Amino acid sequence: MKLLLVDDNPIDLMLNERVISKLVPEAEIIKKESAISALEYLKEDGNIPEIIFLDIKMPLMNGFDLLNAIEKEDNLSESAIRVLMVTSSVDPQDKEKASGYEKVIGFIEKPISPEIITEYLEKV
Amino acid sequence: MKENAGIKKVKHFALNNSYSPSQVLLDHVQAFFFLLDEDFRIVHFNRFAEEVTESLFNQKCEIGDDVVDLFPEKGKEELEENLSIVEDGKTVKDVIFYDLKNGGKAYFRYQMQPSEIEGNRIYILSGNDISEQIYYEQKDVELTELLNNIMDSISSSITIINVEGVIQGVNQPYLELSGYSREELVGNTVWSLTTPEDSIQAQKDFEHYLNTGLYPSRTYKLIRKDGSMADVIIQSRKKIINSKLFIITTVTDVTEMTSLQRKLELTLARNSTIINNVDIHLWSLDTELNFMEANRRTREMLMKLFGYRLKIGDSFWNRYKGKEPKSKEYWEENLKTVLKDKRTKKFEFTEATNGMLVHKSVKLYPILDLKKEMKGINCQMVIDTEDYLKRILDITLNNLKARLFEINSINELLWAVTDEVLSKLHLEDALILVKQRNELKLRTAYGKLRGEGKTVLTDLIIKVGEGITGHVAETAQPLLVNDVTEDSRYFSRHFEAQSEAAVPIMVKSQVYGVINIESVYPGFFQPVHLSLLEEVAELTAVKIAQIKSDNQVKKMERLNQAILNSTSMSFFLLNKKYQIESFNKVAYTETLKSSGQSIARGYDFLQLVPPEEQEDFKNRISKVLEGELYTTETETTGSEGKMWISITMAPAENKKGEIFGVTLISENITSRKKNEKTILAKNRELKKTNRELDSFVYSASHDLRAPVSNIMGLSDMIDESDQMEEIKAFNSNVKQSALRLDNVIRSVIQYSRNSRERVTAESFYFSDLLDEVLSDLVHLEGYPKVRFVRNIEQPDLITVNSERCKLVLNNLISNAIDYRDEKKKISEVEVSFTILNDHYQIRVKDNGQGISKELIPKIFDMFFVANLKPRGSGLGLYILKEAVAMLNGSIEVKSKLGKGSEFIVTLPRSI
Repeated sequence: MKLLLVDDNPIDLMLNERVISKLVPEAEIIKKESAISALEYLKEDGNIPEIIFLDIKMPLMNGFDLLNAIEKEDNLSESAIRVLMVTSSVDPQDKEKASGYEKVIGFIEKPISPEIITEYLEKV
Repeated sequence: MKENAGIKKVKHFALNNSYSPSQVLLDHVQAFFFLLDEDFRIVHFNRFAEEVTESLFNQKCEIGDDVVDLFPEKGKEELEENLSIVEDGKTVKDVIFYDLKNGGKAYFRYQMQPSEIEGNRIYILSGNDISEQIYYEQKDVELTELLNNIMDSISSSITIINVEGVIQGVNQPYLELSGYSREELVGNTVWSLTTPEDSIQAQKDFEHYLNTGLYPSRTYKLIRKDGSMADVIIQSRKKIINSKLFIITTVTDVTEMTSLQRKLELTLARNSTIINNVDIHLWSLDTELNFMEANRRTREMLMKLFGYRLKIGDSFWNRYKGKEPKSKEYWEENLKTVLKDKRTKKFEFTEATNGMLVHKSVKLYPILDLKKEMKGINCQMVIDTEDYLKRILDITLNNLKARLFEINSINELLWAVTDEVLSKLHLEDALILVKQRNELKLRTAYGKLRGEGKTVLTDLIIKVGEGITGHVAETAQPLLVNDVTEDSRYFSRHFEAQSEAAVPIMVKSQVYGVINIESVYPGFFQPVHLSLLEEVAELTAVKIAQIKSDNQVKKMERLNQAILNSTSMSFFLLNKKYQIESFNKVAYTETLKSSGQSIARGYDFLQLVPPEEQEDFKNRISKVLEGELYTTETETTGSEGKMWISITMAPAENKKGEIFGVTLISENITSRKKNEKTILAKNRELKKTNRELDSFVYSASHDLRAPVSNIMGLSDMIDESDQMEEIKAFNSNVKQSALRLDNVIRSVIQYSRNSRERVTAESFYFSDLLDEVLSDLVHLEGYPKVRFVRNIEQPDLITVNSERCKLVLNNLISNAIDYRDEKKKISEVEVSFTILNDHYQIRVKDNGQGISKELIPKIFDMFFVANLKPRGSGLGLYILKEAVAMLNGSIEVKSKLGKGSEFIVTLPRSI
């Protein structure tokens, strides 16, 4: 199982990786420090993760920008990629906006807890 | 004709040197008589003489006056000429005319003849009004000649008979007429001289005369001594001689006369009987005030009013039979005055006698003998009953109605009613009281309560329901009480009123006030009083209502004008022809200001509308006239440049709800518009600020939470780990997160301070500020790796707000350090400062990473983060831009990706 973690904050990336790898040790975890590099990765053939753990607030290209880009890429939009928004944002507009995306299956506040991640993983 | 009879009387009067009891009659003959002494001074005259001189010449006739002085300039010369003829012992007859005020002419035939009294030469000037004859003369000259002939040919004969018709005496002409001697005639009846048929008729007529005072107009056949017959007409008057009644009969021979002449003679004869039948009461009293003579009317009146049968010689007061009315005082006073002053006296009064209201106007003439001794008083009285009152009231009401147009206050009206109407009713008292709550307050008065001018003497207040007046106020019904002593409602106030009447003045079905009239006579008031008073009250009420509504309209108008004039709006009332019907002061001044036009009532409003807009305007008006409301705000160019005006047009309706015009309200709203613009701009700004604030709160909370959540996560890891190396690494991350948190907090504080602190300018040296900033940045990771270049123009004294200036510099330099290009061997930051004409220029130039062209417009946005490493808060440049704005400065960026950036801040030299 392939999981993609996108966050501009390396500490978050590290923390999230540790939590998730404990829950699903067999999973292949890919970390990207910006949406731009994440998009580059996704555009490469065969790089279709099961779940993307996506931060919202990132410089230059934020989480929503990446979602828009995914929708524009046919092979990505048609894929079974699921997205979990992972953010420190308390802005209700962000949550509302996120629910408008077909691929988004959840909105998780940082720091992430294993229980909530388990819940979503089970769903998938 | 008439003067002949008159002259004879005067002759008689003069020759006997005694007053004639028939002075009354003499006075009522329509001919004037003057008895003049040898110097043509007036010795005596009759009433007609007095009236002629008074009414025609405006002269008062006085005994002792030169008769020539009485006549006006016109004809005076002629008169003097005639007088000189008379002086020679001749008789002069002439005709003279005078112009009347009404445009007509009065013709007088007069005669002057010399005479003698007790050896003294006297002259008799007599004449009569022949205006009517002259009138005919103008129609027919022949007729006049005929009349003259008649005059000349008349020769009257007189006989005195007793109540049995027996002749007591005759005059010479009578003797000549009959052919008998005096001895033959005296002792026979007058009718013995007539034919048998006429004799019976004459006897009947004589009886009739004795009873009624009237002789029928009849010609009798008189048989002369020689057997020849003469046609005669007679006229008679009664005369008391030595307490015995005699009849003096004038016999006129009309045998030679034509039928017309006879007719005239008959008319003349009847005239004397008119004295007895005129609607005038004539009587004479002696100096003791006993009746000497009275005409039939007088006798009838005394019988009717007093039940008194007049007896010659009776006291004038006998008629009262002991019940003396108030009017006795008037009589006594005036009769005494005449006896004392020997002058004519007039007076009038109204009284209620025997239940009848009568108005009496009395003239008293002294009877004087040639020695000017008082012999008695001739009394003439005209009595009016209700008709008189109606007439007076008709006149007074008409006077009042005529005055009503000029009356515009209630006070004025009430006084007009009092003075024009109530005062003319011969009352003792007339009051108008006005109701205020449950009281009636005296407003106007005639009579005893009248003060000086238009004031009342007392503040009389009557409670509603109290007395007759109060009762009327309560019931709103008119009330007439003819004997107040019998009426429990009456209460005496200031005099002993016997009769009282009161009517309410009803305005809008409410009692406005009460008109009250009082009389000292019981039974004085007649139903006519009440109905006339009601008419007065109604007239008054209608006018009061009109004044009230007028006042209300005026008050409203004044209020409206006050309101209209106190606004900044121009009000125009236009009629359907676009003419100005009304406008307020603002409309006038604004129009004068904007168009130079002085508007007035009737001004064509279209002249104020630009020609190209007139068609639109007319269409608009016609829509408004159909009931539409129209409002607009437009920008126009007036004398003071561009301005905004608002225009509201609404249909103007009259009381019936019909649209008769348009109210146009315009207002200069330029300043409001300006304010509106400012407010709109402010609103936009506020909205932006609010949006920014909202996003700031969320962004800040995110940026604050992010490091916190990191720390929380890391501390969990530390808990779980037992490897020292790992724990140390985690701890370093905790430190990093804490630093980041600190960084965010600092930014937030900076932001908050920048937007809240007051902008005050201080003077300092730019170099000092730069040193301070650099020392603050020493702890930055990249600080040691950067070479700083100073390029500061001296002297560098600067006057701005130092806090903000520091913030700007701090942000620019820290960014330059943070985003230095690690790939370059040497990282350099150059800070320049120059003082230009009116501003300072601060430049911070680096050879760092630079900013891509597309991102440059976004870099000053809040929370925009352009660089991935190191990741900023996105607040720095935003706060910087705000700070520059607060200093009224500007910021410019020159940057090239990979080459470096230059930020140029320009600050004005004075705030």
